Amino acid sequence: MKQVTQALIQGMKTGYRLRYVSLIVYSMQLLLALSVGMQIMEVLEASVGHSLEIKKLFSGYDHTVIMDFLKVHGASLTPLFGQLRWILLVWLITSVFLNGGLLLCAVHPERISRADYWHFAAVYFNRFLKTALIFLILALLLTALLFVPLLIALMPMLESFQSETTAVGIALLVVAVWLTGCSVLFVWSLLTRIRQAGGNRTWPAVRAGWRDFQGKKSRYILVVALFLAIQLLLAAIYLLLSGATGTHTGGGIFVVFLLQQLFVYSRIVLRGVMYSTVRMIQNG
Amino acid sequence: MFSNCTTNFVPSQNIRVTKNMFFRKFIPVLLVVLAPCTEIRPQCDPFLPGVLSKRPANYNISVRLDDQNRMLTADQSVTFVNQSPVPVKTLRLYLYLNAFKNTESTFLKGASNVFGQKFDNRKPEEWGWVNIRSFSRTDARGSADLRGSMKFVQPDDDNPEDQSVLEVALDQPIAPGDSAVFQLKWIARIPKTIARAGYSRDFYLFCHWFPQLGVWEQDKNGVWDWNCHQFFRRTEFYADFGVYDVHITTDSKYKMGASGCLVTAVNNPDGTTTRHFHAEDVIDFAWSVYPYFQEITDQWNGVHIRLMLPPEHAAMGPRYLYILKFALEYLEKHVGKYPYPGITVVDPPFHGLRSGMMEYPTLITVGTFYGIPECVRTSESLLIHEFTHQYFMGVLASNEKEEPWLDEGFTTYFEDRILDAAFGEKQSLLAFPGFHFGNREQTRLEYTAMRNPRDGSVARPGWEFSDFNFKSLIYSKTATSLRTLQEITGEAVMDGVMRAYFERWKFGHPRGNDFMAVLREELAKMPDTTLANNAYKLFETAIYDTKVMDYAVSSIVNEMLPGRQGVFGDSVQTVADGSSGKQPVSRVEVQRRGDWVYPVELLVTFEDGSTRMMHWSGEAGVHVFEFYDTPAVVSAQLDPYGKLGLDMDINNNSMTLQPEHAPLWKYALKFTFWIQNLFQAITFLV
Repeated sequence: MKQVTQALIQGMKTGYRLRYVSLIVYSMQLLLALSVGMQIMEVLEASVGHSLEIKKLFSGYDHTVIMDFLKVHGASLTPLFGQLRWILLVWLITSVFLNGGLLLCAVHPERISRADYWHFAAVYFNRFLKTALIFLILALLLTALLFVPLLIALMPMLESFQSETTAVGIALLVVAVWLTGCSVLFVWSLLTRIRQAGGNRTWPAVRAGWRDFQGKKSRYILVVALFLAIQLLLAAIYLLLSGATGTHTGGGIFVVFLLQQLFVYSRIVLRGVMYSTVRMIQNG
Repeated sequence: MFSNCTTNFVPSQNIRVTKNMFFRKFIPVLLVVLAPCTEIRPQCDPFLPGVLSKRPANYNISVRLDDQNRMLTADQSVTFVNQSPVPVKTLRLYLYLNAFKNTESTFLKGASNVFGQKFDNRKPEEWGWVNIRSFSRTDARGSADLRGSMKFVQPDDDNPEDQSVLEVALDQPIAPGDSAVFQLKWIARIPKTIARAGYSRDFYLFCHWFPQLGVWEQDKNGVWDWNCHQFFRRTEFYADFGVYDVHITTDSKYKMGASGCLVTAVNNPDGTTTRHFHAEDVIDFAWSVYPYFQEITDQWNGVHIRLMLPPEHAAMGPRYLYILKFALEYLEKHVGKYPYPGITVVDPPFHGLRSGMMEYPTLITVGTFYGIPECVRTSESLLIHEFTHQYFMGVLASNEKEEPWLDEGFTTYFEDRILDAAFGEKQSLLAFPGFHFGNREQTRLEYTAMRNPRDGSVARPGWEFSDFNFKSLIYSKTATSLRTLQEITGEAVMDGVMRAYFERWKFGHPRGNDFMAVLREELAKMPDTTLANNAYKLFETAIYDTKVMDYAVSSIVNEMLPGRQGVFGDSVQTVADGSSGKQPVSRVEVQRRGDWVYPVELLVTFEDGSTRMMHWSGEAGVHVFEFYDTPAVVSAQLDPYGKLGLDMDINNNSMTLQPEHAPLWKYALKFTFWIQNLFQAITFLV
């Protein structure tokens, strides 16, 4: 526990130093997201922008306004959702590059600079891309192994058991196992990439990463659980603040937008803190 | 627990029909006398203060459930009173359970599934049927065996495989004013639940379970005949009023909910319990058993409420009670007094959900899921819907088969009203922070979001609808039309219409024309006859036509006309110098994009904040309103008070030259925010 606490404190310090580098990741992400978001804005403006009904959206969600818009103009959004699929793929590859730089800066706190960030990102891109593919496949396998049988069995289960509480319990258990599995994969993938940063080739790094995880698994799981809790706390704070701020005025909408972006940026900084903390435990 | 004593508390046929006051008064005394040996828990006094209906069809049934073999064995007597001016020579009875006999019945033919339930590999014992072993007339005129004159008939589709309607030729006609008593012995196989009826594990719902008379009435041409349609997938039921005495024997492990009121319950030496239920002036009788029911009782203004819940749904009890009492109060205030002594709510376990969400006289089934949060009010919505059917189906017993809009549409209209009154508009169905909508909004959308809203009129028999338009037209379009009528005429007028309809037709069989006649009469009381006529025509169009309403503001133009100039006069040519100044003109163009014509209001707002209300007949495809020498027009709004819920697109009803961009930004940025979060989620391993 002491080691985890120390690693966490160190991670936070590094995370603070990573704030500018995190800004790079955040900016790239925002630009890509805005490329779809702004098109949504244009569709809204061109279709219902001159309707007085839009004012109703000031006071919150209005089902009739939104659904009438989707009913009449929903087809205008279809190409955007098609585009979003490709943008997600682009982001997946881009994030290997961007997060690679962030990871290397986190594990080499003595070299946190924008120049080093771009250098690390470029040098490790190919290696990290291969690792990312391996772990994405593992995550897909895990998801399929758990959820496909659950989906197949869900309806028969609901009809077979005396009460649906049994099926609900099983579904919750599967979700818990999946979350645990994803947490393990996250730490394993991170340890693998840290090994790669230390000079290991891909498959040896994967094996070494697993050994690293096995050695201190309870500490790693504890850290992941802690970070998950922090993320949930951040989400709760965001919901609370955005609810309290309200969106009844243009100013209110701007404040909520700032909150949203602060939330997104915090999650990126947290990722840096996490990288650094895991590295500290691995070394410790 | 019930004791093992028996009781001879079985009212005779005569008593049931003529209401023996002596018997009624002495029920409490009998209960007290028998209490030491028979623990009786009467749910309520089942005997109504007066005869509320004509009671042409009365039933006395003793039925035994064999849950090991999923069978029912019954002795049934039916007393039919011929209240028509012509003799009755045949009987027609519904044998609904035969609709579940095989895939060739009219109900199942052509269906790959019913409520998502497929019929592949169904075991022989999972089908349902009813077999009448004896059918005789035994009354004051003697007795006759009628079994030989029974035959299945198919009045609607000539499908020889369909056995859902039985015709019995009588040995002697029943003269006008006479009654006849028929004795039946029958057995039935209980199906694995289809269309609510049947079993799921050890939960049973017995609905449309016994041979039941059709309705002896005049057809459209004025000829007296049986109205007894076959059972179709998209039709419900139609039967006549009467008194039901039902003795039900089941294994003692079962807890039971049923129509009417429990009069006695007797534990038998063979481990079974016989319960006696009595219901008056109802059109049907249903019951349900399940060993694990938890019973919650309460009352509102003398109406006994009984909830039968599986243990995992026990938390729903207070929610059900709240909304049921709210509905009782609301309907009494806006429609009429609930006439029955009690109401039983059966909430099936989830595996038996196919029995849920249905209405029977004084018994309704609902549906829910464990842990459903309070901000999701689908269960309350279902309960209100099924309970409101006690009025629009139970008391106003319209023909659910031929004119389903009269029960489903009216019920949905009040479901919307009650939910909105109980939980607030725009949040009565779902009330998550940031995502909420009301029952009424959802009802309107079910109609306006149809792929083809011109897909036939509402006023058609249930069997003419498809899976795609059934709910949207019968439930949602009717309810939205009634709501539009309310918005146009006012809630007080609408309540007056509903109260008049209820008072005039309660315990009868109103037709669509009967409601339209009441509507016309009540609207005629309005001081504004033009408005009344328009409102009547609107509702008539909504129900009997396929027209679609969509009005739109298509443009607002403000410009300056050149000053007076040109050539004037015949003999002397004058050239104006244009110095007389320019004249401002504003033009608002409105369009009728649908084929439904209805007069609409247009609220025009000018640059200085002043407004002007314009009236448009709504007839032309395009109409331009011109305003000279006024400040520039900044916005125009058709139907500014949002009365016309039938309008297909609310957003195009208005236009402004000073658009508010902030709400659009709000949604575009929110969308961006969720994309960012999606980005982060999918790259957690990268």
